[in-house]
Amino acid sequence: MRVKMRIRRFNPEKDSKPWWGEYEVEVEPTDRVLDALHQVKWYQDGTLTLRRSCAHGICGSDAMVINGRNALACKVLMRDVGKVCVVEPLRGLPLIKDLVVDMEPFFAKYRAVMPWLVNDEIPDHGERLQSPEARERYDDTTKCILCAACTTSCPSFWANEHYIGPAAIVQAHRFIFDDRDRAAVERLRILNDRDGVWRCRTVFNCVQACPREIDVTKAIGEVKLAILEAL
Amino acid sequence: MGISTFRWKTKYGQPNWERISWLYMRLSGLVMFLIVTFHLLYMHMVVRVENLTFQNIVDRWNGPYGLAWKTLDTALLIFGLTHGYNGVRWSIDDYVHHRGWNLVLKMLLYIVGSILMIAGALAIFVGPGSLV
Amino acid sequence: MGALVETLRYVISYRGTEGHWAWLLHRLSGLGIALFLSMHIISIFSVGLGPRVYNFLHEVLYVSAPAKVLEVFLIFGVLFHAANGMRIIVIDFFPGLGKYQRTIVRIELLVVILVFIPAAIITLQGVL
Ligand code: SF4
Ligand code: FES
Repeated sequence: MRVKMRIRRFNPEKDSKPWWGEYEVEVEPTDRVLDALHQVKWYQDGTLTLRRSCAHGICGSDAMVINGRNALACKVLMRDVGKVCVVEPLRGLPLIKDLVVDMEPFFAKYRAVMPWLVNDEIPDHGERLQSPEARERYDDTTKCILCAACTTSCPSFWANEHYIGPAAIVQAHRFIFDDRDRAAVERLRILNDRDGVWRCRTVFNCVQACPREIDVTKAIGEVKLAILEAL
Repeated sequence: MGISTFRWKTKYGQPNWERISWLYMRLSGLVMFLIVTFHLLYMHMVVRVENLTFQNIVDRWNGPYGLAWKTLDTALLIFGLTHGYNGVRWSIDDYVHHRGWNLVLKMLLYIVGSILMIAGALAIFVGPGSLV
Repeated sequence: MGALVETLRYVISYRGTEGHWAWLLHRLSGLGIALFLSMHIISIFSVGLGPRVYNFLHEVLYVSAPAKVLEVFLIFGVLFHAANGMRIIVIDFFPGLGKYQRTIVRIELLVVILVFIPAAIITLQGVL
């Protein structure tokens, strides 16, 4: 099938502002948007810049806006995008070049929630055991690949780049509800910030955007209730 | 543009009132769900807006159920104004980041809000026609 | 200002689901109602100023034909804001219900419209 790719282009050394590049590609219906982008880059315009690594939806490097909605280019099939495929860089993060945005503000927020296990007690058996039920409690949020699709789909984040964003809350949830962890209250205190969980307005764009099908809003809701209880 | 030069926030966890504000929006929303629905149905569908003349209000506030009406109207005033203006404050915090403008707009909001609160309370408690 | 315009462009051009549009409508209706409420308090304040001022304001702000048309918008705004607010509260305190949110928004919209239509007809009687 022939598809027209409309790609948002920007080269900081040449362009004063972004522009639309249009390219015709011939693809299989089962090809992914990433394959179409590769076709453009490899055979039509080598200057097209994008980020990708695994090409199998697990590294989280190729989240972008595809036909007006955040998704991983390596997970969206061409048969689902129609005759015209519009591709833009993620919103709300500084644009570096073409489809590549600066993820540093995003990772700064990730680091702010202490995304590591905190526990200084010596374990009884040489390792920390956990029951399957206790593991189940936070299973959903372990699936996050930090692609930033959720955070950059959130109107609260577009409006205010200081909002800590769904991804950081998901990562905090993963440790807050881990019964081996000892820093839940500290994390809840961090998320109780003016720009923490309370900027979430239950818009649900994050749930739709998440390529790992994490129930992001549920995780945020549980963190909100935990803050109400704990602080 | 190019590589980001703006400063982003990395320290979270300053004490603040947002949690209370969030909870208050839910609680006042629940209360208003009941009283505003009643107010709307009664005033717009039963009495009809065109009949809400000065005399109608006098009769209601000075009638046998005057105290109940005044209580209801006071509740509407307090919950409506605080809920509504807190929502406006959230919107200002969402969209206006220039520190000066943010402060100016919120100050303006608080001043207008206080004036309206006083004006509303005067109307309810001083009595119809007695402010001149 | 440029940032605000950019944000609004994002809001309008993002293809979100029901929750996205419900949020937008919730915010717009909320701001609209806050504006109406401010005016409403002033007109009620005029009760203290006696029948002449009050009745004049009442006639202009609530009974005239343009006011009636605006009243229809107000009724829709209040109904939607109330119903949507209830949805948000329920999901806030039972986060697990979030997975049905698309259905919940649709049902909510249906209820709002079912209540709104007769209310609008009653309001506009005499104007049309
Ligand atoms: S929660 Fe989902 S959308 Fe958000 S960063 Fe993680 S994987 Fe990406
Ligand atoms: S390239 Fe790794 S997630 Fe798409």
